[in-house]
Amino acid sequence: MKFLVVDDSATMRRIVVNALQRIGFNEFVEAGDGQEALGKYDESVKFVITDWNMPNMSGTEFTKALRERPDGRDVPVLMVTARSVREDILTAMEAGVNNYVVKPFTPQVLKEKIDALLPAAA
Amino acid sequence: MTSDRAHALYYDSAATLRLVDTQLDDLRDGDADGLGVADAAPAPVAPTPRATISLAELPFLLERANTEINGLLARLRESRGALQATAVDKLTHTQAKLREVTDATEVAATDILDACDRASAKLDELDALDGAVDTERARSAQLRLELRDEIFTMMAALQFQDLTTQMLSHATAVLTEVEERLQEVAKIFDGSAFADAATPATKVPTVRGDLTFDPNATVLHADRRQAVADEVFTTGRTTAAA
Repeated sequence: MKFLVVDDSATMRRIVVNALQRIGFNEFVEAGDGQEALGKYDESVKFVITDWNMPNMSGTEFTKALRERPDGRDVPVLMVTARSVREDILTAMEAGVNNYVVKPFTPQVLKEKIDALLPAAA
Repeated sequence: MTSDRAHALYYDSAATLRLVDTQLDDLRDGDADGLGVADAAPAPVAPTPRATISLAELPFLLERANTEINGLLARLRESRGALQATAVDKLTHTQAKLREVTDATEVAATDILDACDRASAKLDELDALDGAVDTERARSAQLRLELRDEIFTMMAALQFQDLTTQMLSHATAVLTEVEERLQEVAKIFDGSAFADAATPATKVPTVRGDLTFDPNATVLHADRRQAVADEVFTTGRTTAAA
C-alpha cells in the first residue's frame, strides 16, 4: 500500500516513514507542502498522512483540494500536527481529515489511527 | 500598534503642534503690535493674517496651548501604554516558549541517551550470544527486536526538533513584530531615524500573517491533547451519524 507523507520538516517525514516501515509498510511518496503533494498524488496512493502548518499550501487546504478531486474523495487522510486546540481540530475535520494525531506522537498512537482507517484504504 | 494607528497618531500630533505654533505666533504678533512682549521671534516663512491680540487674551491662549500639549502628551502616554502592554504580554509568552525549548531539548537528549544505554546493553548481550548454541537463537532474535524498538524510540524522540523549530519561529516572529512596533513609535518622534532602516534579508513570518508554524506548538501534555482530538473526532462522527 502506497502512503503519501506530507510535511515541511524532513525530520518529521523521516520519523513518520520509519514508523510506517515498522508497522509493515514499505511504499512511500513524500512532499514538503500541500501544493507539491497535490502534484504527487494519484490513484496509486492509498493513504495520506499530512502536517497542518506548511508553506505554500497548508494541510487543511491540501485536504480540501484533494476532496474536490474525483480520485481523492475517499482516500483516508490522517493529520499529524502540533495544533491541538479544539477549534483547530474541528476545522481539520470539516476540511475532510479522517483522523488526527497530535505531535509529539508515540508509534503506538500512529499505528492505532492508521489501523482504524485501513479498511477505508483497501 | 498598527501602521495606520501610528500614522493617525503622527498626524494628530503634528496638527496639535501646528496649533500650538499658531498660538505662539499669535502671542509674538501681539508683541509686534506693541503689546509689551519682549524679543519677538523671527517672522514665519509663510505668515498668516491674524487678528490683533490683547494682553487680556494671553491667559486664555496659554491655557489653550496648555490643554493642547496635555492632550498630545495623553495620546502619547496612551500609545506607549498600549505598546508596553502588548509587548510585555508577547514577550512573556515568548520567554515561556524559549524556556520550554530549553527543557524540551534536555528531555529529548536524556531520552536519546537512555535509549542508547539500553541499546548498548543489548548489543553486549548479543556479543555474548555470538556463536551460541541453537537454543539461544530465540533469545538473540528477541534482543534484536528490542534493539530495533530502542532505536525507534530514539528516532521518535527527535520529533522535538520539529516542535522546537516551530517555537523558535514563533519567538522570532514575535520579536520582529515588537521591533516593527517600536520603530513605528520611534518614527513619530524622529522620522528620519528609521528612514534608511535596513530591511531583513529574509522575510520573517509575522504572528498576524499566514503561519508555517503553530504559535501554540508544545512538547508538553501530548496524551491530554491527543485525548481532546480523539474526543472531537468521536463526537463529530457521532453527530454526523445521527
